Amino acid sequence: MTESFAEYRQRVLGYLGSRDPMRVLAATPRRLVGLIEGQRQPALARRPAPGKWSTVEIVAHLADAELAFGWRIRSMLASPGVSLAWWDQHVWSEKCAYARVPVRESLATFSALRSSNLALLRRVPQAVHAAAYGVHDKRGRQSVREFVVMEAAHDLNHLSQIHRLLQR
Amino acid sequence: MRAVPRRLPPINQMQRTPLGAARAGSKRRFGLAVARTASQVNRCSPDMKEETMLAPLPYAALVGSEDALTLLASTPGRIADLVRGWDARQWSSTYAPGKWTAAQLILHLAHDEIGWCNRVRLALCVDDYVVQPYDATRWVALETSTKPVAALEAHHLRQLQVIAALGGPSGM
Repeated sequence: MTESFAEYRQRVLGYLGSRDPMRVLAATPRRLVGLIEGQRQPALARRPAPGKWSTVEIVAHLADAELAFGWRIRSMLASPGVSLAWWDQHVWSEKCAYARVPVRESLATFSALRSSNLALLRRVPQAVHAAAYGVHDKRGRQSVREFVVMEAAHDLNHLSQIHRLLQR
Repeated sequence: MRAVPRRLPPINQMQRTPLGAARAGSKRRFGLAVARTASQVNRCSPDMKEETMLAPLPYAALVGSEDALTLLASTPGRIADLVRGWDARQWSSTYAPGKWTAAQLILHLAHDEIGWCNRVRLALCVDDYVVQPYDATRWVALETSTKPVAALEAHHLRQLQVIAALGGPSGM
């Protein structure tokens, strides 16, 4: 059964709990390296079930999600009220051939973009941060803070998936 | 699925496609759909609306008949060669009074990497995709203190992946 956004949100926010989302975001690249290091390609490419993502595909997705996050936070901070397009992660994974992207390349891209995005979030004055918001195609008005929290919860969701995948 | 050309047409032969024309149905060319109607323009922030009018592709003459993907792949190395050994004075110099400094120009290139990589993905994946503008001046103002070379390196990693997804220049 397909999970609704509200159900997904509740589930992944449960992973975050009371943790500081900025710390979670900062820790994820290191945690990914720890999970992937020493793993052989067959394990990285293994899908848990038909149609479900492998580790290779999940890390490519994380890199693309970070790209979209970078666009969104800059757009919201620079132009409050901006429209934020919804993107279909499954279509992106097919059209951008996630299964063929080397996992270390995705990891390097993700880590570099994450570092750049966190540097921006830490530097922006509080008044600019507080005034920033966007209007998401499906979720309506969203603040930068809400995006930061959801991005951290999204990290934890995928780290947990990769952990389970590579333990098999 | 829409077929992606392995080699893009020369930029001066690409077309910007008004959204209505893209919806009209016939096979789409590889080009850009640009907001024209009031509802499309309203998806942009208020101060960006004037940027959504149709205009010629601004840099076509610079690219000419060269392969755009090959040019894109060469840019990180060309910039690295250009800035090697620069001192603070060179980083802060401008090409005209009131214009961006060298550091801000490179930061802008890094930002544009985020912008066009998002746009390429959306154009590949969304029918009747409407390109959304962004305020480049404000983006640069948000983070002028970023070390620009580091930012550029970060975003060019992404660029290499996009090029690979598009088929890539030979040898990549």
